[in-house]
This record gives sequence, C-alpha cells and structure tokens, in this order.
Amino acid sequence: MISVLAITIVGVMLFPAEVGVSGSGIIVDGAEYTSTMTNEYSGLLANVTSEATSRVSVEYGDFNSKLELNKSGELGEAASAASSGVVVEYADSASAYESKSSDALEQAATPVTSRIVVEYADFIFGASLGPNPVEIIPEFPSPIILLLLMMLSALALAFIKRTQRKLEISSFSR
Amino acid sequence: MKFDNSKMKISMLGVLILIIGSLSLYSYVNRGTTTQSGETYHFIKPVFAQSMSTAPTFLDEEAGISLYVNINRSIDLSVARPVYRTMEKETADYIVGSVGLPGLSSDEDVHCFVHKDGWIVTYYLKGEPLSKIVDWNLWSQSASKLTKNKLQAGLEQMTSAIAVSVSSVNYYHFHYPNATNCMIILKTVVGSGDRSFNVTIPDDIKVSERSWSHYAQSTWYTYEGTYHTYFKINGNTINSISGITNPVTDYGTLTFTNLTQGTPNVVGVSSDARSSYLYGVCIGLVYQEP
Repeated sequence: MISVLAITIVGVMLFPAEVGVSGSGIIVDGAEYTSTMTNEYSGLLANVTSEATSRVSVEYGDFNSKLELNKSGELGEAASAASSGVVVEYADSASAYESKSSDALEQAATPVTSRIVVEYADFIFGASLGPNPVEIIPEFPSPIILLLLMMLSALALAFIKRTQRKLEISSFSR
Repeated sequence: MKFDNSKMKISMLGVLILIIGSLSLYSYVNRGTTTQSGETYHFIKPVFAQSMSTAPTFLDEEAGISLYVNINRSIDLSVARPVYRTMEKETADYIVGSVGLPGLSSDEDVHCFVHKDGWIVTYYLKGEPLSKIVDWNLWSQSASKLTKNKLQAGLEQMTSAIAVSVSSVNYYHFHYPNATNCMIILKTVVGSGDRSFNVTIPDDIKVSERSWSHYAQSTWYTYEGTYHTYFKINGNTINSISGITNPVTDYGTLTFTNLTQGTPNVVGVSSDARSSYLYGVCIGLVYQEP
C-alpha cells in the first residue's frame, strides 16, 4: 500500500506542471471563476494515517450509539462455520424450510424440457400439434388396383394383337 | 371387304379400350384433385404422385389451426351436406365448406372438410390467429372454464349430424408444420376491475405465433357515455374497446417486443363498467418445444 502511495506521489511530483496547466484536459468556457487543485498526498501524512485506526464518521444523526466491537478468537471460529442467512425484518410470520434436492431428483429433472410458465390465469388450454392428417389419410387408389388396371390394359392390347395376327393369317390362307 | 370390316372393328375396339383405360387411369390418378374457378384442391395425393411430386395439398395451402378426427367408418356425404352454411367444393368423395356457429356471424364460421372415408377436419385459414378459436359465448364464469372452442363446436355440429361421438381428436397447424404445441390463456373481469396473469416464455422455445383476443360483452351505457375496456401487456395498451358495442371480439397478433421471451410478461384486462358485463383477454401461442 505504501509503495503504491509512494509511486503516486513520485508521479505527481514529476508531472505537476503538466497537470496544472492543462487542468486535467477539462476545457472550461465562459466561467466566472475557475480553480484548479493539485491532488497531492505527502509521505508524512501517509505515515501518520497508517498508525491511526479506522473510525466511523457520523454526521447529522439524531441518535448515536457506540458499541465496542471486540471479536474473540472463538467467535471467529464459530462464525467461519456458520453459513449466510436470510435476514427477516418486520414480518408478521416467517417460516423456513430446508431446501435440498437429491441427486436422483436432479437426474430425473435434467431431461425435462423448458416450459412456458403461466401464473394467475383463469383458464389455460394446451394441445400437442400433429401429426399432419394429410400424411396419415389412406391413399387411394391403392397400388394393387393401379397394378391391376395396368395388367388389364396390357392383356387387352395383347389380345387385340393376337386376334389381328390370326385374321391376317386366315386372310393369307384364303 | 369382310376382312377389312372385322379388322376395322377390332382396331376400333382396341382404341376404345385404350381410351377407356387411359381415362380410368387419369381419373384415378387425379382422384381428389378437382378444379373449380381456377382453384386446385389437392387433399389425397396418389402414391406414385407423392413419390414424384411434392405439391402441397389444399390444406397445406389454405389451412391454419386445424382440428381433425377419423371416425373409423364411412360418412354419407348427403347427411353432412345440410350442416354447411356455405359449400365451397363438393365431389363424390368429399365436401369443403364453412359451418356456422351458434350466436356468431359468418365471419366466425369454421371451415370444414368431410371425406367419405371418415375424415373430418375443422379449421381456420392460415392468415387467422390461433386466438380466433376462442368463443367467448362459451365461457363459463361460474366454472371458470371455456367449455369448448370454435373448432370443437364446428366438429360437434358435424358429428351430431352424422350421429357419431368422438373421444379423441388431434390439432395441427398447417402454416407452422414444425410447431409442436399450442396454448391459449384466458383472463376475465366482470364489471369494473383490473385483472392480470403472468406468462414467462423461456428463451429456448421457438414461438411461431403470438396472438390475442379481446372481448367486451357490452360497452354501451345510455346516460353516462360508454364503458371502456383495455388489454395491456406490461403496462402497454395493446387494444381498447369502447362505444356502442354489444358484444365485440377483437383479434390480433403480437410481436416479440410486445410479448417478450425470457422475462415475465404481465397480461391484463381492465374495465370501468358499472354493470356485470364480462370482459376478457386471451393470449394464443403456437410454438416448438426444444
């Protein structure tokens, strides 16, 4: 801490003119009065303040009460073991429940997806969507009927050709 | 000459068989595909056509949120016909048209497709929001429940006509084929008051559509002007209804900015009515779970 202060002091001592002239880069226009103060901290003051203990400064208080705080070593040990607590003030009623989730619950909860949370609604209606009805409606004509039609057409064509050939042969034989 | 006549007859018979065969094939191939006023309806694609073409069906092209069922028996289309308010298309196999709902104007009609093979699909068009399926006339304040939605009401009319009861139905959104779920959330206020609900949509949920419905049973007050009702999200007014209205339902869609993800949204409905009229708001979500 002292070394930091010393570096700061050296820095201020090395560049006092620059700070003073430029006014820390702040441009003031049209002011009736301008005052520039150099922020310096002497080594003596540092020595003095390092020996003084911290004090609470109270201003404008209607009532001040000072309690000597003296922490014993035992209290320190006890306090280190205690966890942070919730401070309840002015409550009509307060109740506390220990919140502890088991590993099994955490494992079960992990695969659950995010949900929309709704509070204080009068009515909620939710539905899963799907599947697409167009995809599940049975197709018609069925492939069997289609195949049958094609086979019938082929058979009809074959029959016609055969009959034609027979007639041609019979006409030649005549 | 005799030979020529026989040959001619056989040739003509052959040509006739070929024509009939071709026509039969053509009609089978295009079964379920008819054209009217330049509009092509594809619902059932032939197997081989499916393999060769990825042409969308008419439902893919025009339907949005849909409710469908197969009653597992054939449907006599002549029995289904009187249910329609307007017939858009009728073939030997199916009817497409719109079905009127009790107490609602024709703007609220649901579209209905009925196929003789047992399929019934009720749907709204793809440009219409999910929140449109809410029929505020079917809200039971005492039970705090929407007894059924418009798609269900339309389906019920059709199944009643053909004397069949359905226990299991499916929802599908043709405009958002990747969406896995839909949800509607309602909040109401009777008379004057301000009521709200919170909805938090996680960041990893892909929301396809955010829509709303705002209802006022009446805003008409004779001597002191009109009542007002407001629909707000996070304090921002999305819609308001006032004036001489008996009753009115407004619909719309929301942006990501209106209804954010990852943070709670407060959705409220308020009214300054002195009479016990019903006012309500609904949020509709179509989304894909991660």
